[in-house]
Amino acid sequence: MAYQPLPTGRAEIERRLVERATREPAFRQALRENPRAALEDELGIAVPSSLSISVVEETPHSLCIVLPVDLSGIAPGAARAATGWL
Amino acid sequence: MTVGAPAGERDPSWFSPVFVLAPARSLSSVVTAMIGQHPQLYSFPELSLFRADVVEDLLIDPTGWLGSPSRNRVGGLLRALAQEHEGTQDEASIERALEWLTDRKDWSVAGVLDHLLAAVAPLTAVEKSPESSSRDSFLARMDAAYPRARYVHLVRHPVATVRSMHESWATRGWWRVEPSAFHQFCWSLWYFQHKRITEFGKALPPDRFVRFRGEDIVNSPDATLPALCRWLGVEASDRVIDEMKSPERSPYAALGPANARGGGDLSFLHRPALRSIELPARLSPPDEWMLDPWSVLMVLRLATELGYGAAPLDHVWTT
Repeated sequence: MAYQPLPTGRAEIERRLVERATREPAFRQALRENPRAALEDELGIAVPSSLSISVVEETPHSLCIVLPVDLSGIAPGAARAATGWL
Repeated sequence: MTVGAPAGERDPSWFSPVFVLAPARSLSSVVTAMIGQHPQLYSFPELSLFRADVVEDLLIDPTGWLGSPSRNRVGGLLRALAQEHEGTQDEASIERALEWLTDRKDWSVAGVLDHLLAAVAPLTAVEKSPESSSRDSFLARMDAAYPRARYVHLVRHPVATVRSMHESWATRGWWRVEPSAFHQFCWSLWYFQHKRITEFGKALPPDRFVRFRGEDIVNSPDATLPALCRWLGVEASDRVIDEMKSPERSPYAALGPANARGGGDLSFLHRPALRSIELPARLSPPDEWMLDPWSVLMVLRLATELGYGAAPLDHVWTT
């Protein structure tokens, strides 16, 4: 079986943010100017102050590759035991 | 009455037990023992039945299993069988309980639970096994076996839960998790199990699914237990609430004999008593925990939905 990382919720939250930013120009602008407030507005939570947030917009001449936190310290079997995932 | 049957020969409508659903380290041992002190209710230890279809599969570890060995996980079941068969839980009665179970390898796990439910009837039985909500398939098996069952979703603050999981498990070596990733492992467990229980509950009517914060029951029993009793449809007088504040009176509030240790949280079984518990004042995890930031957002979102809001929490206790 190919290695599959522990799911973190990243895909779901990113999709929501990108979809809303695409749909609502005001939200896109809010993400640029104050990403913490925009994220809190979208998710209905208080984002921890220790978490810094960067928003990067791609252009026709630049792309961004984000490397996620390395969770390979959790073996897939352990992740399954803990979460029922896979 | 003798109830119990091989797989496929039981009536799911016989009983309507109450299941407490929670991940491990969620105060479910003390809370379930408290519930069991109500004169109309009876709480079993962790039976961990719904991880298998039939008894035979309870007694062996699945291929590739990581976690507590099967022999540990039947400790609560053996204690319950010994208690109901012989009124005691010593090594000899545990051996006979294991023999009884081994002779019924073809029974469905629900058949075994029916047997225990019949033994404590007319009391309403309450059972909690963290493992029961660790897979969608386990919950589905439980729901199919008892379509009239009721469920209490017990939640605990994620930071306190993960801290407790880490303290209890980090040195066990059951899972292949590097020390630097162990908080993430526990953090994910909190999220996935509560998410699963929450989704399960959304499909049930309010009279079959209720949610309580464990900290509220333990720290403010006089304020919360009457509401739980009313939901369960049992007496909620001051007299019974006082009785429920003595979980140490449960026949399972002890470590158990050497051949069947456990059946609940070991620290509670070591020192069974109702004591106040810390409710952290904020949801953010400690900075030193190495957590994926997206998973932090997901947990905060779910914890807020489950009653741990962004605002300062009520009834904050620190120990």
